[in-house]
Amino acid sequence: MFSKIKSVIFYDTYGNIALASFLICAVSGVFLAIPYDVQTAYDSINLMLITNLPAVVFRNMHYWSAQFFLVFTLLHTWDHMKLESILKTKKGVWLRLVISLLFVFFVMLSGFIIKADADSLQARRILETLIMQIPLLGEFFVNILFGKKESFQLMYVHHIATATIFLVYIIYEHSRRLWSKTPTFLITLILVTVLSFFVHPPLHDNINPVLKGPWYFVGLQEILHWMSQPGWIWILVISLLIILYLMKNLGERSNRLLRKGILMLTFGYAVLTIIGFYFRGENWEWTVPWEKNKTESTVSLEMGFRKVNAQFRDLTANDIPLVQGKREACMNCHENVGGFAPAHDPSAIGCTSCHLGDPFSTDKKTAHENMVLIPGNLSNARLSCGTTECHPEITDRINKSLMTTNSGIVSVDRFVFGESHSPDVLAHIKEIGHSAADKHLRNLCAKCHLGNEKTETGPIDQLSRGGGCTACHLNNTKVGTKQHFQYLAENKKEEYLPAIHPSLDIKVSNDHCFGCHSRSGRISTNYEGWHETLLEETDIAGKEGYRQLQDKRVFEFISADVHHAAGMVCIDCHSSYELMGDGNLYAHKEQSVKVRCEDCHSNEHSHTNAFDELDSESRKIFELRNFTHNDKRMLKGIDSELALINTFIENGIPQMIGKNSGNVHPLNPPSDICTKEHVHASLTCSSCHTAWAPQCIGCHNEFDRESRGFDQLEKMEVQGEWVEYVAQFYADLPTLGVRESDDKKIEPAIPGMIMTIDKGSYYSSDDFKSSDESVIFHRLYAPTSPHTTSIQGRNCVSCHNDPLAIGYGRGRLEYMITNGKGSWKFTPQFEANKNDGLPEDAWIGFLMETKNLHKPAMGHYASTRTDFRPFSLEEQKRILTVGTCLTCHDENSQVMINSMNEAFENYLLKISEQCILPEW
Amino acid sequence: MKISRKDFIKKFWSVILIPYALYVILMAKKHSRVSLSKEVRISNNLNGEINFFEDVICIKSGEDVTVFSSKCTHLGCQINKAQDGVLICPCHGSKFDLQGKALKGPANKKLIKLEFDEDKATNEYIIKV
Repeated sequence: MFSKIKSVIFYDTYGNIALASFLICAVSGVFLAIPYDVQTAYDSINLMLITNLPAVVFRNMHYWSAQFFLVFTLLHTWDHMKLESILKTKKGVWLRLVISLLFVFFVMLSGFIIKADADSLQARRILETLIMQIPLLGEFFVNILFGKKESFQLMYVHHIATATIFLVYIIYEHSRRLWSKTPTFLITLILVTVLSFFVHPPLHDNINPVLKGPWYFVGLQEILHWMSQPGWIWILVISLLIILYLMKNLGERSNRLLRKGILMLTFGYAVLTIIGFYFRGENWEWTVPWEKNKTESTVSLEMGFRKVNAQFRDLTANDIPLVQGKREACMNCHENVGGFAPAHDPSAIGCTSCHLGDPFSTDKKTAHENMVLIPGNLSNARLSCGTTECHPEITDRINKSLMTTNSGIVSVDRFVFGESHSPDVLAHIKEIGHSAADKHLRNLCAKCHLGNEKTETGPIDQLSRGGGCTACHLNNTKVGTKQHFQYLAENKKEEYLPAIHPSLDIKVSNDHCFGCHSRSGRISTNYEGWHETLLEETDIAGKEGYRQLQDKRVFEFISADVHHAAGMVCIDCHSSYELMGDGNLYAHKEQSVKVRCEDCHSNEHSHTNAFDELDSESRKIFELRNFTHNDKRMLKGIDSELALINTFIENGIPQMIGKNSGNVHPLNPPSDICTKEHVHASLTCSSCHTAWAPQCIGCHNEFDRESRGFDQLEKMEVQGEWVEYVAQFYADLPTLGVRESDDKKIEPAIPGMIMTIDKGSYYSSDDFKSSDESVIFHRLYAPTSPHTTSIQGRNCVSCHNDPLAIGYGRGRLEYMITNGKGSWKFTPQFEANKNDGLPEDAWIGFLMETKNLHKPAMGHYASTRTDFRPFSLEEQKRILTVGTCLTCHDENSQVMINSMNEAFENYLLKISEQCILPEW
Repeated sequence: MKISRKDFIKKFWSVILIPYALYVILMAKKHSRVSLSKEVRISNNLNGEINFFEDVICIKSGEDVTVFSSKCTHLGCQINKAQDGVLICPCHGSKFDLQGKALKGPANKKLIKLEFDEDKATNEYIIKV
């Protein structure tokens, strides 16, 4: 049975099939040599693939007959290793046959090399290095085999002549013929031809990031990766040849043993080949074939009948421009598409640099196969935006940026759910599981991160989330957008294909940030002056001062940030190293954001950079923005130590250029009160200059098992979802808190997590001893940077006499003098929360000692940070003591102004008898 | 016409192989590559910290520029990849830090550091490869 099957598959002797294959290979090689141009080797094959279908068939036949030749030659060799066969062969002939194996591999490898693609170039370098390591003769061999570095001439000659002549000689010498049997030839020809029509040999398209040698050397590639001294491989090769030669002198038993050994070695090599082929990915990392997309697949044989679009049969080299060493067929269909930024124009980088696909095909289906519709999503950025020729470092960085990891959001959420011991643990949104906290994130938060895929074409709008590089760099013109929507409306008919492609540039507008940043801290809406309400669309009909976003939320206008009013945009302050990350992982945004108000608003302008001192990225951006102030010094960030490239100092005055608008803004110094009064030195700029901050009065979180929810991370409907029940929103001056790690700086704070979480609704009630245990309550404030800067700072009373500022919540704070004794009294606006007895909106109790409230060492926190706390009792007393003075003295009075010129404790010693200070 | 093996070998060697081999050897002198040292010019306006070119890798760290040969010290492959600040050879996975030191095998030698000059007039680095 086995022999019958064998006789069908191996329809003649291995030697005859190998000879037939050799003949087909030689003849197809002659035909292939006509379109092949050794001077422009890769380009000539590239052109062949696009414009010359007959040549492609001959190339394929040449390839497949060569593979047949190799395989059947090796089988033929194996067949004749049997003693009875060896003994029939004369010694000299056997020696030449053994040596000829080297020529078989040489002719194969030289064919692989002269296609001159990325795989070939590396194979050539490896072979050159290996041959150079042959003692004494290495350099001579490299010279006669390869010739000049950039030339393939000698290798080509050796491929078509030297090796071929030698092989003809060997074939004739040992078989005494150069023609196989006609049926064998015909069957081989049919097999090769069929394969040639349906399976196309690879030509590296510079898209696939994986480099591989020819299939028969993939095992060797694995072996070489274990060898620090790869020159030893010659000893292995020569040893094998010697063993083969010496087989002639062995007896029957030794011959059989040796053949068994060779069979086992071959089996081992086959295993290595499979490992190398299927389990080695980019950068020599382990991978599994089923997780790779076709682009990354190392098996790059293209299957299917290769079609040529009839419309493009007569294309010539002149019709297909050479871009980055490669010709792409794409622009033959997508001609006249414009709108790109110069760096991303197809004339500079082609189409496949971003969209992948098959650049060598004019057939729509083949060309679009494995194409990426939206390049720049982080899942494909490594293959599109982040390739070595483009922005590899940024792709590395952006994967660590806070806008990708959402570390703070994840770790704070897990902390409030009691699933983490600290809110500062590094985390990644893509790695969350299905615990109660993670499910909460999946339902409510897991959409706003750069790794979220942009799946629909079209402009970035208020509903856009994520999209990797496109989240910021995709810009559509109005006409382009109109064309795009028309194309969609017309069911994507080809005649409506937009002629204007989105520009990919660095004009990042506020709209790019708006989608995500209009939520949570809401800095995008704050910045423009809009405050979220709980109103409905119908509530605001006909009313001014309201706005409804695309997601139907209604906002009320309060007041815009002074920088927004001046026409500045987000990127005027926030640099590439903040937005795309600086390569470090951060737990929270205040660590990731390096820019400070004082970088621009300072009386000192000594912290500067010259153009020549710019780092490479800043210099590149400087040039892309067409800035011309390279003769002036630029301000440098105090924390970041990076130049603010859109600033310059002229005649001693610092100025800023709007990155998108080009408008020049003077950078005013801070007022005297900010810099000369030491008593407020611990206040950050935003603690005074924040006009308002959005605040809420707690919320309740419950898991609704019955409703259909949405998993924002997986983008699919799921059964059950966490529901957040919110109370009223306010736009008030923020509360203030103390940042311990930053020299005890005072910063604005808002209610971050005043909430109850019904964990029992998510887990089974049996998991908890009582219903009380299943409900978690937190009263955590969060430090904030509200982005509602006003020129005028908040007044003294708004801090020293305001219960909300100190942390007591809204209400009436009064100073009472009874029987000559002063005391403060606070009447809260909100009722006490049943969980801790404090007013709903409070951070701390009135004149309450907070030391026990915030003890990081004990795992107790009063805020969503380990290093941010409310005022201690001692600090509250000091604030209110000043507040006591302000109940009688105007803040602009001389008494109060003088009080700031010396230590307040000393100043109190001088007060009049009429002044009654509080007794605590 | 029948020809004996011996005659065939004799004729083949004398008529084809020996003259051909001699010709190739003579030709090899003209194609000699080893003695040729090349001058590479690249813009001194480097885009990022790690900059790959065909023959060289330029590392810019602050003000300091270091130029390495892009040849992997293992088998001469062109190193053209980096991940997390580590240079990676695509052929066999050797890794090097930005000082050229081999971090992971098979390569165990440092990358070759190349001397270079800066041409201020053209804003180019001139590197001898």
